[in-house]
Amino acid sequence: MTTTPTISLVGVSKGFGSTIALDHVDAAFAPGINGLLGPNGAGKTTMLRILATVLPADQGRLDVLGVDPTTGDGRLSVRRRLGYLPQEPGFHRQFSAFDFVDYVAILKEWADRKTRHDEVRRVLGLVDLDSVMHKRIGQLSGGMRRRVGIAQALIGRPDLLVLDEPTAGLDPEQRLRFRELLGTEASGATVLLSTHQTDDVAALCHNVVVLLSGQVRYTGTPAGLAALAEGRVWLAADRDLRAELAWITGEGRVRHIGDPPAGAQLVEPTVEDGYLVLAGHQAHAAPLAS
Amino acid sequence: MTDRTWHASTEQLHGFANHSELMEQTTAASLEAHLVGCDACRRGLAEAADPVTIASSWEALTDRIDQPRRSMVERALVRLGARSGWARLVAATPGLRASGFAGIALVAAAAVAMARGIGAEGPFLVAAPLVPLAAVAVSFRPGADPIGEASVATPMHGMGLVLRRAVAILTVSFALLGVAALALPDLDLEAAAWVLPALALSVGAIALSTWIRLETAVAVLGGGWLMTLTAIWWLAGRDVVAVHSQSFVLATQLTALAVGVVAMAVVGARRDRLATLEAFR
Repeated sequence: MTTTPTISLVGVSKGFGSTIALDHVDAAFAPGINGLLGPNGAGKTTMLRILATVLPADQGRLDVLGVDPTTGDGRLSVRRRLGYLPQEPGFHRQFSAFDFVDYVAILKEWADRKTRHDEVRRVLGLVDLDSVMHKRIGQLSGGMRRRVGIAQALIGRPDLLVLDEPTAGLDPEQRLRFRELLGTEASGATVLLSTHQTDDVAALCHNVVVLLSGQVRYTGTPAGLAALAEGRVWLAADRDLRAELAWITGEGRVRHIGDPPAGAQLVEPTVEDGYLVLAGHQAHAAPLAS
Repeated sequence: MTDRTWHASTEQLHGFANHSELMEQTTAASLEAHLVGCDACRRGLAEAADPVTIASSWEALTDRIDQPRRSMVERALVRLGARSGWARLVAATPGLRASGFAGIALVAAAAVAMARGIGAEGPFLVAAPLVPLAAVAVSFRPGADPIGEASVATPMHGMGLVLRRAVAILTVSFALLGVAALALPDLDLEAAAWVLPALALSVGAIALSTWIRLETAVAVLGGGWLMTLTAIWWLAGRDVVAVHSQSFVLATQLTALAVGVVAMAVVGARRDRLATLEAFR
């Protein structure tokens, strides 16, 4: 799917003291699901915070949904069309799931109580939390809390969904449900999600951006990312020390990435392989979840 | 025990289904008990019920169940005319909890007790401006919003919300301090000399937090206030009278007024930072 970008960043930089989180980043995102991959500290969260108007960029140009979010009016316009799930949402212990989502809905200018409550029930239903919506958040499991966070982001069917590691803490069944949910609820919207789950990227995203040390190292399709490892992934019974990266698979064999020896049993690369070829030892230091 | 040989009339079922609140209470309760054990009457009730009335009753019931519990502060704000949405957002401020009120009352009472102990209002005038400053620190500290970072990306987050919360906190602090001040040994105009410094320190902390961490801003201003008073007392030969002199009180008020005005201007000029994570770090 290739359509006109709804979000663009040109030369965007952001630093915190002496640390450069984003270094002259150029990127564009079109409607559909866009994935953001990178090891911890690569700048993913900073980029998402900037696009969600939570942090200003130090320099560069931004266009989000046709407006400049660095101006007061532009920021307000973006926020009215935005759903945002931070990496670590704050959860007031005394709030129930309903109270939490209702509070966000008030902040999103849902003034009419009846309409607001209907919307709160709808989004909590989407994440299968109807039965526990009146339980205090402190009593919910980590996965349930994550789903409460996802629910608040879906209020009002936003045109832009910014989701920072939405599947962290979800079990496989919940992740599948989340993928289905994005397919239906975010139809037509521009979705940006950062994740360490490369299989989420392969299953969901039409476009993926890989960030390393605050710079964009890849932009394209997940298939294109996987293709970067074409001819560089092989399986063997024992570990080959010449490989750049190697790990034991569930079947007990060793999967290698690097320059294959003659006669190596090459295998079809995955998105994770392509990402590891790009990220190399940075990713090895902060391994991807399996 | 339900009498199975008796069945409710169509009129009774219609009345029960659609206007049960108008039915005589004992009759409605008896009918309800009978319906539990009588299939025929339950079928009759289903036919008599108006689907629209049932749907609206159900919606009213779920809405009542789903209505979040309102805190005392939220109820008070609504009674004072605040819109319910704003009342909820303001009431969620940490400084507006019972523990916060108790803390303010305790410090105010201790300062009054010290003032009465030495027979002069000095200790109260020194401590009172620090109380609203502490309330600001508690209310706007990082993570103070009940939903954290998610709130920052919403349309209502920004200077409007910050100011409403600040006004609420300062109103409560000033009211409690004002009541405490009534117990000072000399109840004269000088007993209100804490008001302007308190405003200047509180708004100054909000303004400074657009540059530096809130804790640092509060420490700088609170520490600065105490150090200034101590220095003046020291320079005057440790004479408490100097700190209470008319010229000193006037100078303090004028300085506080100037600081307050500048702080307000800074808050207005740097309102963009109040709308992002750049403030109240």
